[in-house]
Parts: sequence; structure tokens; C-alpha cells
Amino acid sequence: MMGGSKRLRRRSRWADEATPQSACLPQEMVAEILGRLPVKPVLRFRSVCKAWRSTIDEPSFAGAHLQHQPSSLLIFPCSEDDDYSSRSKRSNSISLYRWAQGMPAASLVQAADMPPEHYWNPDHHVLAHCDGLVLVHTGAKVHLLNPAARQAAALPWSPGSERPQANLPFRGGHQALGLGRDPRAGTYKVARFFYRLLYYHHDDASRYSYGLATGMEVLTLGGCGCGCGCWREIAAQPPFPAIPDRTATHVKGSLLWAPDERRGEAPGFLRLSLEDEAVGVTPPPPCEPRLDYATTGLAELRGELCVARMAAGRVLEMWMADDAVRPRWERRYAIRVADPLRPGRPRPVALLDHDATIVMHDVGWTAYAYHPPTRGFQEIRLETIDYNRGDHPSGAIRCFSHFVLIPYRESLLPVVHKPSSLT
Amino acid sequence: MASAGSGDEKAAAAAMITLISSDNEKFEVTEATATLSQTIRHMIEDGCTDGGVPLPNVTSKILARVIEYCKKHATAAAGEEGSSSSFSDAAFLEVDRAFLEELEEFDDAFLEVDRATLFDLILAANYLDIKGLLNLTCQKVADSVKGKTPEQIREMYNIVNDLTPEEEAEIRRETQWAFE
Repeated sequence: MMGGSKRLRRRSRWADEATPQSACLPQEMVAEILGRLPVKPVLRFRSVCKAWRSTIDEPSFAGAHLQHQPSSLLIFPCSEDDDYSSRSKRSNSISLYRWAQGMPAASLVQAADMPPEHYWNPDHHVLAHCDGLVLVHTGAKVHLLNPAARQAAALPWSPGSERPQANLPFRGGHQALGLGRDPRAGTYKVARFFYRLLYYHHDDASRYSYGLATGMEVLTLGGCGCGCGCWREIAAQPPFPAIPDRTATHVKGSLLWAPDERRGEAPGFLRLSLEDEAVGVTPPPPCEPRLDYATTGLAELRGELCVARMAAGRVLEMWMADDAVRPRWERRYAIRVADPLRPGRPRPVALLDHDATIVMHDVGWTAYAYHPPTRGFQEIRLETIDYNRGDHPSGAIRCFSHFVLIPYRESLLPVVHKPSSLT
Repeated sequence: MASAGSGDEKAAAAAMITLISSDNEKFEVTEATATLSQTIRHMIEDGCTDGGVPLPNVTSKILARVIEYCKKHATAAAGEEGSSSSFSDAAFLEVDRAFLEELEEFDDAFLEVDRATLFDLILAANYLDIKGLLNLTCQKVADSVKGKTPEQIREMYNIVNDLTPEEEAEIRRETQWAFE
């Protein structure tokens, strides 16, 4: 906050100049009011006067501002062109649309040229969100966006981003990313789980064989001292692999990846603590039958973990836990889904804070909105939303292949990053 | 949160607190109403409310409005506590919904004040630490300035532009799109 004497001086000067018809905005309340504005007017109001500019540029302001921003959704509609069925025509750009529940139209917030390294399919979670920052992962390249502030940056190359040059024993990618906030340092970190090849030399050194190993690397945004952001491999080995191409869920300073069980059962979600960069396991909810990680999703809903799954008898179960380290899972909602709705693999996405609606997404064109106070369960047809591209040259999207949904909250956090003091 | 044990809570809810405005007007309110203010809640917890709570930063005109807000929202908070376990009951649900709508109408009407009063309410909400009121009043101001240009803001609030033309040009250059 600002020094007391400064504040007094400003205020008295304004008071002197005030005409009786118009009231003065008390300077100490300027931050409170600006904090409740969307990003665009905040950036515009930097040019009101020096006091407003310094209030907005104060490092603590971005954190306070974020606390007041409503939650919404970002939708990435993948057009037919992005799909593997027509690889030759695939799109080179990614367009993100912001959508609020109940609205007929979604507005384009960012379009960026990001050619995917390999095709996107519905099981690829190419986006992750934390505090207004959006991670876009297109294969070898990782981009960080702040759609509200119209900023974008490409993260540097790292060894872990290279796909091993050998026949992997599975299809798809070799890595899974995550974005989260180190609660102690106040910095944002990008983490990558990856597979790599390890060569073993034999005794006579002329022969060698190779095998796959897993690793984890972390990039602190702007916080590595040199300001460039460097990837560091962490010492701890992941005890089991994460599902490739599926971004981690961030909850209270932990990143959680769904385990890849194609080569053996895993004891839970793979967890990375962003504060001490320790690797651990988060046990799954004690549901029956056992959780199938490949077909269920994990989300953070207002600080809680949430897993949704279809149980027997067309009952949609939602399991919640308040802690990622020692989760006490609770089956909070059991929703009997009436015909004709058929959520096949509902993944929880976001909790919209204006009315506590929980948005879930199936792999296809359908999302679902559950409103706990009224127990209302509704379908959202994603293809019927008007994806308003404004004056963007590439025109309207006609053919959708699938959609990617992430929670979103506008923020002023820069993609070139300094530690921030969020409370 | 109150310092009193659970057995005393009923008695505490009925207890009256005297608030004294800057122009020395006295207001009698229930503790449940007064403790919507974190500032007063802490005073009660510290046991320093005997003989009334002087509020030298709040005029009687503003304090009366603040108390009006707190009374309404204190009943809302009590109602919420009582009904949270009966969400399953459709009848209760209807009552809740009607009450929430009524509260929203109250808030809308409450905000029908001139700009100077609104700012005084913000200052009082900040000083008394009443989160709901601070949020309501600040959001009202935020909504009213959202679509304005910097020039309009300066005019509305009598702010002198002390940025140099170069500084102003730089801000515009950095975020031209925010001005469109």
C-alpha cells in the first residue's frame, strides 16, 4: 500500500479542487474500486493520473484484483481442420473464446498462431489455467498467454520437450504439463512430466541397449534469477507415469496428474508440490468400482478437488476433497441423470461463482451444468454457441471436431513474471 | 467465532450495543447486527463496548444507512444458517429463493444514493470492515466507470491529469487496444 503522507496530500488536493456538484473518489478506495473492474478498463485507467497508474502498477494490485474477478470458462473449439481425419488441412492457430453460462455467444479473447506438432484429439488436454494465465501445449512448444491482457510468450526449449527418437511402447505424446502457483514464493511454475530414453552401455562399451525412463522438470516464470525462465530437472523421480498430453490439475500449490495405468496399476494421482518440488501420490476417492483414470477427470473447484464419474443406475457421482496431500474424499453429490441426457465421461471443469454452478464436459460437443442448490442438471450444446470472432480475418468456424474447456478468471498477471503477493 | 460459549449464544444474540456517530448520535443495535462489522466484532471480543462504541469517522446520516444494511443482512445470515441443512426440501428452497430475491431488491434500492453518499458508505464499510457492504458499494462504482474513457473519469471525479504528455502517450502505445 502507499505511504500515509502521500495519500493525505493527494486527497486534500482533490478535495480542494472539488466542486460541490461532483464528489471526490477517496484515494484509499481507488484500489478497491479498480480491483473490481475487468482487465481492459484497468489498463485504460492507467492513463487517468499518476496516482491511479501507481495504484495499478503496485505488485500487490494484480493479486487483489484477481480475487474480485468472476469465474468463467474458456472454450477452444477445435475445427474439423484441426482434426487428424484431415491432417493436411489442419489449422495453425488456436482460438480461445470466453463464455459465461447462459450466454448465446462467446467472445474471442485470443487467437494465436500455434501449429500443433501432432494432431489434437479429444483426449488431449492442451490447455491449463492458473490465475488468468493460460498454458497452451502444442507438442514440443509451450506457450503462456494472458488473454485478458493480450500477452503471449513462448517458453524456452528443454530436453524434456523432445520426443524420444525410438518406438515408444504406446501411442500419443511423451509428456504432460501443468501450471500452478508456489504459495510460499508467490511465483508461478510450469512443470513437465516426460519420458526419455536412457542408454545402457554394456561391459565392452561397444554394445548398448536402451530403455524408457521418466523425469520431471520445472520452470519458474521469471523467478530463476536471470529472468529468462530456465527449465530445471528435479531430483525426485516420478514413482509412476502420468497420462501423456493431459495437463495437470492445480490445487492449492500442488499439481496433480492422472496416472497412466497402461503398464501397471498406480496408487493414485501423481502429485508435485510446487513449494518444495517434492513428488508424491494423492489417493483417489474410495469409489466402487475403482476409479478409471483414463476416462475420468479431476478439477479444482473453489479450492477443492473434484472427480466426477458415472456410476451404476445412471447416477453421476461427484467426489470432493479439500486437500491434495491428505484428501478426505466425500461423495458430495449423486445426481440421477434423467433421459435423454447421456453424460458418458463427465469431467468437472469449473465452478462458476455467481451461482455455484458446476460445469462438466464430456469428450464431445456436450457440456453439462449442475446447480447444487436446485439440483438442476442441464445440457450445454457447445456447437450452438455463437463463436463471435469479431473482425478476425479467418471467419466463422463451421465444422467442429471437439472442444476443450478450461476454467478462467481474468487477471493482470504478466506473462513475463515477477513474484506476486497473493493472499 | 464469538468469545461467548455456545450456551451463552442466545443471550449474546439478544444483547444490545450502542454505536455513537461522529456527531454524537446514539444508535441501539443488536449484537447480531453490529457484528457484521469485523471492527465492532473485535471490540466486543475484547470487551471494550461498555458505554457505547464511538465511531468518529462515521456521521449519523451514514451510520443510519449502514445499520439499515446490517439489520437486513444479519437476518439473511441467520436465515442461511438455519436452512442450510434443509436444502433437499423443495419448500425451504422456495423460501430461500424468495428471500435471496428480496435481499437483491433491497441491495439495489440501497444503492440508489448520490455519489457523495455512496463514497461515504464505501469509507464507512472499509472502516467498519463490513465485507458485503464494501463489495456492494465498490462494485456499484466499478460498474458505473467500466465503460468510461480516462477523460470522462477525470471529469467525473475532479482528477487533475498530472501525467506528462509523453507518459500518457506511452500508456496508450503499450495498450492501444484497451482504448478502442
